[in-house]
Amino acid sequence: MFRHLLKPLWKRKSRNLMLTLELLLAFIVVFAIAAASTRYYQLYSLPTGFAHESVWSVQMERAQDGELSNESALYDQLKRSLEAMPEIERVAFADFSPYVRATWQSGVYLPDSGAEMATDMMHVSDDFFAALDMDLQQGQWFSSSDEGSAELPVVINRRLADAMFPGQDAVGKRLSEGAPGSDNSSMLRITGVIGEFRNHGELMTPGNFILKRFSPLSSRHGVSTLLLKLRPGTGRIFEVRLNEQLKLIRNDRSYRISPLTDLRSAILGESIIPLIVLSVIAAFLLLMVAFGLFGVLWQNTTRRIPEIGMRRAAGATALQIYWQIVVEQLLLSSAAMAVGLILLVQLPITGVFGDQLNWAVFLIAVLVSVALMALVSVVCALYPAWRASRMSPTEALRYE
Amino acid sequence: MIRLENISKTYRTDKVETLALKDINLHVNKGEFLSIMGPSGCGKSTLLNLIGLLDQPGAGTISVDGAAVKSYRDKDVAQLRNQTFGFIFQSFHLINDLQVIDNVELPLLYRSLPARERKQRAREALERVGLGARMEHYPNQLSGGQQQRVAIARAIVGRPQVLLADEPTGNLDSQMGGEVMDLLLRLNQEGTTVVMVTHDEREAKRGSHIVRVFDGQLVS
Amino acid sequence: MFKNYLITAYKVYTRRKLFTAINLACITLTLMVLLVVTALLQNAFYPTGVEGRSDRFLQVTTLVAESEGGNSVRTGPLGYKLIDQYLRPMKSVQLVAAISSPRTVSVYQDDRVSELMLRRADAAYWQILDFKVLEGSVPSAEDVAQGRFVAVLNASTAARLYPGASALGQQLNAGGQTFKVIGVVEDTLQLNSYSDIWVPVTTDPSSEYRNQMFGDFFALLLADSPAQLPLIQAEVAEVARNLQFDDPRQWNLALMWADSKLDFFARGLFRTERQADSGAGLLLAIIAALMILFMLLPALNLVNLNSGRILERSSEIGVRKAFGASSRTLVIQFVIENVLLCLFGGLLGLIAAIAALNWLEHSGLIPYLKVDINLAVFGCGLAITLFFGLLSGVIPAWKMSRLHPVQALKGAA
Repeated sequence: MFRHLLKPLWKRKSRNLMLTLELLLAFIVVFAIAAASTRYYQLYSLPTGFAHESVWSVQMERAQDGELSNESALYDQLKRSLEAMPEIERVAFADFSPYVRATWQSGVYLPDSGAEMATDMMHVSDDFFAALDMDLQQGQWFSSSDEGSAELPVVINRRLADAMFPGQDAVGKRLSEGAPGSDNSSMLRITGVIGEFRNHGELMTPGNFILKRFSPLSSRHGVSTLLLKLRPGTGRIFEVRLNEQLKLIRNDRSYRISPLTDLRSAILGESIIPLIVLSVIAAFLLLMVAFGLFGVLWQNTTRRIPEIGMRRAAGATALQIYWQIVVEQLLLSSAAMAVGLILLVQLPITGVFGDQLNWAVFLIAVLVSVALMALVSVVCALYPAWRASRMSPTEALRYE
Repeated sequence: MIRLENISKTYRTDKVETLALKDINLHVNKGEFLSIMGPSGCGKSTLLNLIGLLDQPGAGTISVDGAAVKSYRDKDVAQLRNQTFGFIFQSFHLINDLQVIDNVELPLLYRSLPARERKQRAREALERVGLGARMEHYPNQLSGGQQQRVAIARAIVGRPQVLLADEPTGNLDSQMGGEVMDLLLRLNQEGTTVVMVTHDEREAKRGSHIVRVFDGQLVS
Repeated sequence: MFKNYLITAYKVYTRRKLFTAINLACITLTLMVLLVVTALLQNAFYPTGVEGRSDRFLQVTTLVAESEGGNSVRTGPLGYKLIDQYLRPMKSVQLVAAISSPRTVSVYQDDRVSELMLRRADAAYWQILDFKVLEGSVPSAEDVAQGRFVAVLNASTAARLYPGASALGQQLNAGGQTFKVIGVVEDTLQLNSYSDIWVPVTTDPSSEYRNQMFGDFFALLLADSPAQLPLIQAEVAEVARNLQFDDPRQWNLALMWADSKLDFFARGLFRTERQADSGAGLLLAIIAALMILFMLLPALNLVNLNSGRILERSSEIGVRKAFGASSRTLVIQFVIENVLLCLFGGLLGLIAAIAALNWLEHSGLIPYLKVDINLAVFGCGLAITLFFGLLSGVIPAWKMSRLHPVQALKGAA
């Protein structure tokens, strides 16, 4: 029976080739979307390592260019006068705000073996952890008691700790930023280990992270972002008074105030909009494929009406004819998808996309896209198949 | 009129080579009604196709009006076919998407004639076959005999010297077949050369001359 | 002859309704998408309306500074000082405007905070761009020179901030500074004119910006006529060569280019800030290639469907050949049939594109979008349609015409 289906398909191979190409193209695009969505979902369900609710970020915009020098008096004044406001629970400083697409990457080394690891990093003040409600896994947060230590106190994430010190307790260990012994290297001392930390938010690929201590008293460079933990239930209108207060402290600056929830939806949108655009394109492609399939199936069944009549005369039931056409279509789609799979499986095997396309993502994406393509194929085959099966044998044989 | 000299034709399918015609010499005289007879598969349709330049012989020469056909280049034979021959097929081969009048007009499209004259001549041809009233119909709204008469009108609209008919009555019952035969004979009497393939002895005898084909060879 | 092709095509298409419907749907959908994209690109590269004078002005957006030996490179928007001291005195330009890129600012009203976009601009900006002033006026040269706290809003923002009242004369607290609204202009979404609020450049909280070579500004350079633009480009490159930084030990080489809109997008995409050629030609080529790629699938569909019809029409082909049609005439016939269908689909696509753009404008999916389909877009659309018709028609037509007449009459292909 199966051979009976395959042979005519093979006979019409040049015509079916085009259709297979179309199916293949659509399959790959659908797969790409399914994979991206699956990966996003996977990332979204991982912890970010901090809480964004009722935290506002204030960006101090500076007029002059060049490096920002530390003005300890300014940070002290900002902290004291803002914490005096009843709406503000805590004030912290950082290089840049979470949910902002800024990165600072550098290499860290083990001082003795010289093993290197690339990591993201940022400077944060002692209150950063409390303001963002972060959880410590080991050791302790750095604090004012670390003031004046020769080595810069840092908190690192679990991923980096496991990579640099496998099987050991990272707390108290030292790292060198810059190649050990070189001019611009400096020593870092680990005071604590946290779980994941993904500053770009839910859709950021997890990576290594080091939070370095920013001290208004002793750091060489200043930072330009304030993170304010507000009393829950504080409305957006508080921004007016906050801005007035900030202007009182320093009038020659502009302040850009944004709740982290706003920054979060903006950065999520940035990642999701391309996916939506891609989905629109895919929908278009699928529609085209559906048109093509439907048209060709229609023609095929029209041309094969005498054959169908003969089969009916030989005793095939209407249902059998119906299934024959649907199954033929499915076979064709499967061939296209098989080719697609052979191509696509190279991606996780060679690992070109790294963890973005891990096996779990790949398998789910394959399942989703195969199901969708099969559905489209079957839906397109239903009407032509129904029409062919409805035709009476005598009519079919007489059809020219 | 048309002379075939030492014509052979073989057909090749994947592995098998079939000799369809072998060393045929045939002369079609102007104004005659030549019937080609033979059992099915003997090569008589192939012979007709070769006469009509629809197909290219494997060996030998065909001359039309004394001039040998040298080139089978698409453009050259297309023009020759258009000027010289009118075809009638067993299964009519009318274009179902076009009205009767448009079907008849078709051969004139490939000559540069003004549209008005084309229509006029198509109408005349239809009237000659007695279908002046059916011009606006579609072929599948007509009976088999009427369809074949439309096909004849199409064959004569270009006033060809030769009509080539491949079993023109094969798909028709005897009464309709008789009408079609009468029409062909009348056209022949009016001066058109007719070459007809048939396996009906009685029809063949109504022509002026009979050749028989058997296993790719002429026997007469 | 041609009329006969039309009639045949019309009859073939009306007799095969399902086939025609599928083909038309493919064509219409494809051309609609392409037309919408063309209209959007046209609006971005060669706009009409506010930036309708785009063929007469160029923009300088980026300064590249290099240290001795090229060890460090800084790339960024221009400082106000650079525009004021180096670009304004240029000989080949009629007018030079300095504007900041739009920045988010919070606007405070009694009970709410709105996040809006704000630009700081000088007086020339209002002369180079053709803003449609709906109410009041735009800042005068004196307003800018005196540093008056006046603001212009666009229509949507005015309606949002002051519902049911005229915005003119209202006090506007933007980021802690209070402005008086003096004008309302029509919404626009073009490169240099897009914003919600405009205020004079002189109202910046600090006057530090006046002393900067790097900053947050870019310049619009208006020429007397489009023919002058190459002169401006040459002069800007010359200005960059002679640029003196405050500290020549830190930066000693500068690069700047006067760009058209197309150049601007190409530079952003290909990061060609360091060479005179922006890669605009490449950008256009890529766009064309993407469009063709996009047409490929629907074209494949048509090829497939039309090829499928060879069998259906083989008897017709045989008859036509028997009665003297050459292969060439048949190719022409089938291609014309296909092109005609495409033209009809193109027409439907155009109507659909206009509807889609209308919907896009009103849905608010892209705020302030206003695109009109002009003759240029229509011409592009026609070209795309014809190309598509040929692309999808030639292969099946060629295949059809190649059929051997005897085989065709037997109906075996």
